[in-house]
Amino acid sequence: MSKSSVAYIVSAATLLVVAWLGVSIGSVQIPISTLWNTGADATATNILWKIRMPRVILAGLVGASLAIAGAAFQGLLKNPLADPYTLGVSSGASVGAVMTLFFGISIPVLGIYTLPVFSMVGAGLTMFIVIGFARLVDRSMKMETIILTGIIFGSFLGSVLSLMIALTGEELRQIIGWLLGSVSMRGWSHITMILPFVIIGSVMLWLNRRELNAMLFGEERAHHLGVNVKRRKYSILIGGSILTGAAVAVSGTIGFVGLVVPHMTRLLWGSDHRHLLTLSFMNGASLLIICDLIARTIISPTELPVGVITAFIGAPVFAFIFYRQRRKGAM
Amino acid sequence: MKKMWQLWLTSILAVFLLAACGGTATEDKPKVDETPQTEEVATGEVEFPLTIKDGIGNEITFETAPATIVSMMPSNTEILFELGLNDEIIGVSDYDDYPEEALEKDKIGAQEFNVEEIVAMDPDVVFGHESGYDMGEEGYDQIRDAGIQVFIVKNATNFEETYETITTIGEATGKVEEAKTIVADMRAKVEEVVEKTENVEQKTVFVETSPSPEIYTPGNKTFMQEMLDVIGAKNVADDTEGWFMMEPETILDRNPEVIIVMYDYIDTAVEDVYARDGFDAITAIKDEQVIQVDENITSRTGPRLAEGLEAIAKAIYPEAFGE
Repeated sequence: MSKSSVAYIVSAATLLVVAWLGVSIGSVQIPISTLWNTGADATATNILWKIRMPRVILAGLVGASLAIAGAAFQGLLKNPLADPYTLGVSSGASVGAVMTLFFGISIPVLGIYTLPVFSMVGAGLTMFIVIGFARLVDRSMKMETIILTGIIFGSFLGSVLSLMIALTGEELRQIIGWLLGSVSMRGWSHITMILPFVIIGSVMLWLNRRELNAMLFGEERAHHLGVNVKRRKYSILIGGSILTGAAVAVSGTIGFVGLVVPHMTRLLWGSDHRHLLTLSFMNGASLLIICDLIARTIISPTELPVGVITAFIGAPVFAFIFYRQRRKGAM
Repeated sequence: MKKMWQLWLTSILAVFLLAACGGTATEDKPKVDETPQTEEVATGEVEFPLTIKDGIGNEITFETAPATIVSMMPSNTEILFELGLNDEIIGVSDYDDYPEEALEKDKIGAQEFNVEEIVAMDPDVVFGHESGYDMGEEGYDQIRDAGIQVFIVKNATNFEETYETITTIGEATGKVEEAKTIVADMRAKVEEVVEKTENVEQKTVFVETSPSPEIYTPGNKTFMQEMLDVIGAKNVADDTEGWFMMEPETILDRNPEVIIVMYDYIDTAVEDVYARDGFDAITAIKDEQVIQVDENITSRTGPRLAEGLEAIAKAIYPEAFGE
């Protein structure tokens, strides 16, 4: 059996086990027979089907989106520290989402998709501004330049958010909690809200898996290999923005998933984007489901924001990668 | 998009303008102390000068009853107004909205209060509060350094302590009789509520102080717990101490008979609770027992607290009040 098929089997199995754990464990003990027993207690049925199940699925979708977007950004920018969060793209998506709520924007054609669409527009705009600015500063786009630019724009957008919240007083107070990142109490409606975008974004990135490999050798080389670099680049950036926007629209900013997962995956199974993207997608789902499971059970009946858990794991990993890269030189 | 930018820019401008206005307001403050009217040395039974220990153990000496007062906390403000000190109060916190006259007083900020503004007002005494003292200690020190008396009011955690703080503030301001009347009225009201709820069948209650997805609730050792104990209701969150964010699955599992919503900054607060995914299995939802109660009267440890208790009792046991 080839190494890649082992990787797929292990990742898929992990995802299944984790999803099973996510559904069966919670702050309230529920007999797992509730899943198929139609005569089960109403409370148990509701907890399982209306609270826990959508929560696990949403955590999976958000984690998968962020991870595959992170993997693509890292490949495209040849920057191991790139992810939707460090690039400031998540903050851009938040600004888009909060503006939608702030001005009560609702576009009839878009319906329930208004929020994710604006979030994606925010993500996309930020993405292009950050990369444009980084290029302006430093044409070779060194790792630090991009990250610093991301941090600058991220903090600027963060202050825009604080300003909007301060201006509306209490009406937007609920958004502060949302910004911390959470998949709690979202329900099935949020899953239908982002599912199409998760599929579109992921397919867009997956179609570029070979090109991402070619671009690892530099854009010029990729061009010689017959890659329409410009078009591919745009489609990767847009795909990543769609995924980030969708994730942020339902869960706020959850950091570090897009950073940690592709790295772990690369460490274990190599950096061939043909597999890296799909594997990151699955592992991202597993990681966020696990993090959310920890967040809601570790100090039960109290709940932690899931962003706390991902940052707790992610920040040290970030430091570790940075250290290794510096020791080793460029990627 | 263009419109949004315009709105956004206008909002930023507005912030700057507001900041500028705040600046000018400070300049004409010192006028306040032009009328240093001294009240009679003895009012009621207190004799000035008078030394009282405040909420953090400091001995505070009042030479005379204070003629100008700054209140740093809504509960203090409500007590001071109830004591009839309407004219003496010259500054209140940003959150003070009761009684209506409080809205007309100058604002001194909230947890992050404006020390300059307070010093410029030069009041005889500043009534701070124990609950925010650690956060604002440096600010209070600056006020003290400016020669202004700071009296930190104890953070009352039950009814008796609330009565004590009212009595203490009454003594410090020379309004002992008024304070006695307030406390007596409150006791009577609490007594009335207790009597009415004495023989009702105990109900389980979930109180939420913020909406989904971060549903916070008061656990044990909170004032809410004390109130629920007084009226014999069972708090479903009483196994955890203090305020905490409760996991929605647990709320379902605890299955409260009444849900009390303590915030009103969302127009559809109650409707939202009914519409929550999965909550339809909760007895309170099935019986339509989700009730909104004014947070201010139940959380401010001032004269209206007895009304707050009554509001909660009515929400939980409407039958006991003939409703």
